[in-house]
Amino acid sequence: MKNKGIVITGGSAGLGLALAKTFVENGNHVVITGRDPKKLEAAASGLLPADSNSGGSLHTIEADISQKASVYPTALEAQGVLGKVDLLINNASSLGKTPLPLLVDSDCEDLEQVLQTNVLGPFRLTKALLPGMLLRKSGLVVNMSSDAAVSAYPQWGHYGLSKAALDHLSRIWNEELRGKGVDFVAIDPGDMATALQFAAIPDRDPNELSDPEEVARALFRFLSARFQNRAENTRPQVRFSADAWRAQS
Amino acid sequence: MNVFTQVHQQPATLASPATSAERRKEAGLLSVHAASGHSAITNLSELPRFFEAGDVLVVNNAATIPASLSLTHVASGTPLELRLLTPREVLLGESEFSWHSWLAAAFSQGSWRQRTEERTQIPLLRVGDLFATEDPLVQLEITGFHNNEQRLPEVGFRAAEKSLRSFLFKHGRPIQYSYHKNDLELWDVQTPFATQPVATEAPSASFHLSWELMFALQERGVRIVPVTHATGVSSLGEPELDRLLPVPEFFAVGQEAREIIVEAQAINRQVIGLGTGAARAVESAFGGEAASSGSTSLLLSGTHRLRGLTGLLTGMHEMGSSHLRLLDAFVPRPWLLAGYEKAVAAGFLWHEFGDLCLISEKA
Ligand SMILES: NC(=O)c1ccc[n+]([C@@H]2O[C@H](COP(=O)([O-])OP(=O)(O)OC[C@H]3O[C@@H](n4cnc5c(N)ncnc54)[C@H](OP(=O)(O)O)[C@@H]3O)[C@@H](O)[C@H]2O)c1
Repeated sequence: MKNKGIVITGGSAGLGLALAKTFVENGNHVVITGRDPKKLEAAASGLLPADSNSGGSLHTIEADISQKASVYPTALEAQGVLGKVDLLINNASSLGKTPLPLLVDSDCEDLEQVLQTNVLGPFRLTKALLPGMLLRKSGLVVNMSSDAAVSAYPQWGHYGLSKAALDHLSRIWNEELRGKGVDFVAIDPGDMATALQFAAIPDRDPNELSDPEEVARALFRFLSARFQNRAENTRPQVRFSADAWRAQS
Repeated sequence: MNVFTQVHQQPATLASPATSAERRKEAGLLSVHAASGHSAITNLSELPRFFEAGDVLVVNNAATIPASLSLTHVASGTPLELRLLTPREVLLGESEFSWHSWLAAAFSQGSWRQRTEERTQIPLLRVGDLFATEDPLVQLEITGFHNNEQRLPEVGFRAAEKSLRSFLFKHGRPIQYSYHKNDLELWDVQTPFATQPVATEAPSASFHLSWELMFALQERGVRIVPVTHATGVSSLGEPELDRLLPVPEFFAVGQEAREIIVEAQAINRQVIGLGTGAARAVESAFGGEAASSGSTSLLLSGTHRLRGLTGLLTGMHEMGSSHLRLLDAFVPRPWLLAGYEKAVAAGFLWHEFGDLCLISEKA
């Protein structure tokens, strides 16, 4: 992929930042969002040297994806900056309360907040960016999932059910819009050494975890191929476990 | 029956966009046959019947920006509302759309629930005056006045590109209308085709269309083609200023869109514009000095010979207004009014979330 317009939510840290870097280095125009302006600033300045050679560019938008009032302005601003959006990566995500509680000890308000960030945010942003994709008959939407969407890990309840919902959302989008040129995937990136991982499991051995930059490079290959074949009117697999997409990248 | 007095004008509490999703499916459709004058009342869901394979529906992909800004006029300390009308470059006839400098309209602060007619008292404005915003990094400066009108200052943002963007999208609000029951949010003013953030008022003819309907059209072999028209403010609340409207507006018709339209013309198929913005964009692009994008001041009327379109799908246009004159380009006025009489009798609604009218050679 080169010279594409790309929106990555939660692009100021972890996997989102690594993906932004990889896409910019490959000559793409990337908008990243995040809540903390300082983190966004740092991300932007960290990326500059690579920019100049590749022809790619990075733009930041301060936005909380869990808020309806911030999703729609973000979509408009991103389209204004990029001209067109080819690829949307719904990557920003909330674990909910940490330490992770049992469901029986959790509050419904916390569940609500997790769903706002992990399901409603991606739904709204996708909806806001779809018109351009449908009119051009071209686009790829990536929803970042997790193995917690499939395995019922105790204490990962809010997060796990939100990711399961996001997986299913991806399948239904895909079903409804088959043959319209817009493709959907849900991807479990696998366990990575990021803030989210250590917030969930503080004593996790970093040696068991992937480096998000390596994951981003592999995902770049996988997504480039997927984007290339987006118009194929077959019944493509929508959800990919960490092993499944790795096998194809 | 006199349709001029019977038209259902905007009732104070009616036009709430919240109802638009429910209304979408049962919106009325008045079809007017452009060659015979035959007209009929049906439902928007019947739209595909009026199309066949190879026909083209041209839609306006403009997204509506939050063009209403709350500011303080620094010299007088007075709070004001500025409504962005069109980028200054576009006003000057250039082809770029830039967010840096704008022709704007100034309103006294008041509440937007007040009618704009009551909000015309503003302090003395001078070239060089500054407006302060909620964002300390962003100021606006008056660089001139359109037609020497105090209420139509040309303003330039004094801010870096990134601050300007984030200011506009964070602090700007969609332009509000006093007859709406609820505040309009940014998502209320986007159409199903909203892509390019250039319109300051929503291209409202598209509100009732759904992708379900678009897919049904595509299934019939109809091509949905996007063009861009930066739909602008339609009233400033003062007849003297309204005479200056519409100001030149940005439009763009891409190479692919042009080719599809030319192809359809070559095989004698319909090219229907959805909304007057799409119509102005296509007719501008296919005009004498054909350009793919730029500034348009083209006003459609009875003397205009259609060059790109063969028909129009649009809202119910207010009586006696320039809006109605535009339709003269598509159908003789008496035939339109005969159709409008049927629509009045059928209880059609005449506001931006109201019912629709298709004027075509196959209606
Ligand atoms: N790390 C893993 O082991 C792992 C495993 C499986 C799946 N995943 C998935 O991979 C994705 C990336 O995770 P990560 O580990 O890279 O996370 P991370 O290191 O915690 O980074 C999250 C990013 O998202 C932003 N963000 C969080 N909430 C946001 C909100 N409401 N609005 C906008 N931005 C927001 C953060 O910036 P601000 O805080 O400034 O907003 C930050 O840039 C997530 O979808 C996660 O579920 C991760």
